[in-house]
Amino acid sequence: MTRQLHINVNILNAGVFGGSWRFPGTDGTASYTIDHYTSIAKKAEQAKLDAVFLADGPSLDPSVKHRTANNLEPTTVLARIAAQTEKIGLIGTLSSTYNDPVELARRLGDLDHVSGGRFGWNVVTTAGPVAARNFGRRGELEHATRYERAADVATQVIAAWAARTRLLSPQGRPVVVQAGGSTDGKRLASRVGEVIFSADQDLAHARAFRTELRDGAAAFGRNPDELVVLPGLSTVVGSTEAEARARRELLDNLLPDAYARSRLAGQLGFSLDGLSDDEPIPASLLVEPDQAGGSQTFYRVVKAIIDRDNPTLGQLLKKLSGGGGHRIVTGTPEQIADDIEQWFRAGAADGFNVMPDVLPSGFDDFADHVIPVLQRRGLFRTEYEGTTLRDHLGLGLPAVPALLPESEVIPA
Amino acid sequence: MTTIIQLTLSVGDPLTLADADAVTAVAQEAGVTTIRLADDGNLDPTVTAGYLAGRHHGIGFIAEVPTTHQAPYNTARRILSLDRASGGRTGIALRPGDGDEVSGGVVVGLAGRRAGEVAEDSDAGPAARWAGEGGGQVVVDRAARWAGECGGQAFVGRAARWTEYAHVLSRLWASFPRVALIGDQAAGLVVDDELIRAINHNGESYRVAGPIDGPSSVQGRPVIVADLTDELPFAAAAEYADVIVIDRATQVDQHISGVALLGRVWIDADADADADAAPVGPTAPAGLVALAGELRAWALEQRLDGFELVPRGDPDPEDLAAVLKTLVPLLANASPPGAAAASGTTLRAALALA
Repeated sequence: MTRQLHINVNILNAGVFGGSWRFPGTDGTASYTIDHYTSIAKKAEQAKLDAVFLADGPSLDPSVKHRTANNLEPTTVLARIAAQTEKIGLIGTLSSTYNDPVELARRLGDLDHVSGGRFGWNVVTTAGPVAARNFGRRGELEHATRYERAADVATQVIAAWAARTRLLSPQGRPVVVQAGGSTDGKRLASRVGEVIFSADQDLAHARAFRTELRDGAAAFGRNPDELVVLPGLSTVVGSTEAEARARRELLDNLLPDAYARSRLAGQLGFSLDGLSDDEPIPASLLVEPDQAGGSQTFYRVVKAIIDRDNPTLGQLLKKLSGGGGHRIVTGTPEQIADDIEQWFRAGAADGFNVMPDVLPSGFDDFADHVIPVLQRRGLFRTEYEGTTLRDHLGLGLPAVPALLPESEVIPA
Repeated sequence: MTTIIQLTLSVGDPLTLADADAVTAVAQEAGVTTIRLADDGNLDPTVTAGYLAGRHHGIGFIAEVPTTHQAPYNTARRILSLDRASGGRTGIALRPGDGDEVSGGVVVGLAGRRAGEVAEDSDAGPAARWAGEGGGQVVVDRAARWAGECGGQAFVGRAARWTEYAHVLSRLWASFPRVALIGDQAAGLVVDDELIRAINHNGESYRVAGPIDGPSSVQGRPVIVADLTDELPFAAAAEYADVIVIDRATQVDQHISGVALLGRVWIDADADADADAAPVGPTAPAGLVALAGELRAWALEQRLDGFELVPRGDPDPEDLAAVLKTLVPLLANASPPGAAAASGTTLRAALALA
């Protein structure tokens, strides 16, 4: 059989666009109810997707005044989805910085058992001081330290799963998912990641990124085919091109300006106060990505756009539309399928972590209209062939990664 | 008034998830108010609570969570998420224990002074990799490096830790009131942020800023259950517990309004094990009638609000179901059975705590 796409839906509360929760016909607070998540998961299962994906951070998002935020803890949501579905994979984000590895290994292993082998752990290091203050810290750990700890915690957790002798999972152990585009993040992905989420605007860059990760995995003694690389893809679907463009335009207009500015300022690491919409971003304030503090992945994406296009603040805000930096495709189902197929065939992606513009309507459109096009082209399954997340992803059970050598953890 | 019946289940092995699903259905039908999910080496209670609550909508769920290995912000979030998902039918049986690596790395980071104490903690397990196993200076440095610039934390006893932990949970659960979620699409306002407040807790064992990430549940806040033990005396438990569970031998001479008192009753696979336990098996029904009479006398004497039924010796699920069908109606005054936790009623209301 020809190589198949892997597609997840990221249930990013009300949708990836900052104005999603205000979209006409949308219940603005639906993403604060559990049924929002379980019903999208059921729809994703009907569409034969690989998995649902939940982003998370252990804090109240400071932007919550102007846009909905993640607000339910992922393992509890996924346990409920597991009770109400049979096949769909369940990927949840849990912090390696703010969880005790003993407890984490046990809980996530148990969720894998309870779900019949459908769970995947997205390892994140959790950027920012807001979460840090919920765990006794005054600020976040430096970037490199967070990633050292992530590698240490992840290898401990995987070793604990591999050592289980009871309450086992049909897929052996959970799939390890990782989403770091930084130098440190890529190293962690190469070491332990099986599914890699990335953020990329550019096909050639994405192809190079995928190649780099595969080479990195090989350097750790792994089979590069044990990696499934899924860039984030924000989708705006219309039945005609004009309709899709109008939907995008409306979303841009619904984006609360205060939210868009504060989010971009947070990503760039400096204040945008006093900068008007028609002024360019001051290049002198932009540091190199490896020097950036918070999320280097999104900093890198945004900096690349600034370096390339030198946009005004207003143009940049519109391009990002509150979505942070994931690539946005706007068009008919055929056009979106064309884009997906092009990236897939070019070796830039093994599939996508789809981030619908508005939930649930944008996902309904994607599932009802884009998925069938991909299926007709023979690029996406029409039935599940197995029951576990590893089955869906075509992943075997890799060797257990070695625990981190002490020498790597502690610079003297 | 209705007698509260709480049934404890340890889910995983030998009672499988499918067994627990079936027993929960029988329990709800028989009039059990809430299922308590034990944390005894079997499946994680917050995971099974999430799963079972996704399948049974007319009964409450109490997840046992120890303080050990669990930072309070994480626990508060998980329990509140479960509570909101279940329509306000979730609680936590908070068990006294030790700290967690995230909150406690600080303590260990103090130049190895605490390394020995942590290494002696048999429950520390692999967490000691970051927290000072073996007391080696290298490992301690590593923990200290991750622990960063936090201030030191004093060692506290389990009762004091429990009380502080319950205090943090209660405050976090109140930090984002439901009414703050306004979702005003025209004005572009998701929340009224004036109503959402950080807690800025700075205590002996924990420092937690808050606020929590989601709004409070329909029952106000999740129910807190405490087991009265030598480790957790009445005075410490009563400050934050909504439900207190005692053994037959325990004498409680204080009663606090707004706190439900439950007596623990064993359901025993080995019928000869304990005269106070409910036997399972073919001769059970007659024995259960007599036992129910004794238990009701106990309830009157100690002013109990209900019972916690705890299977012991891994009874067969079908035998357990048979005991529940007979014993629960004998203990509960509920009429009709199951009305206490009927759909739409919160756990807090079913426990007469609201």
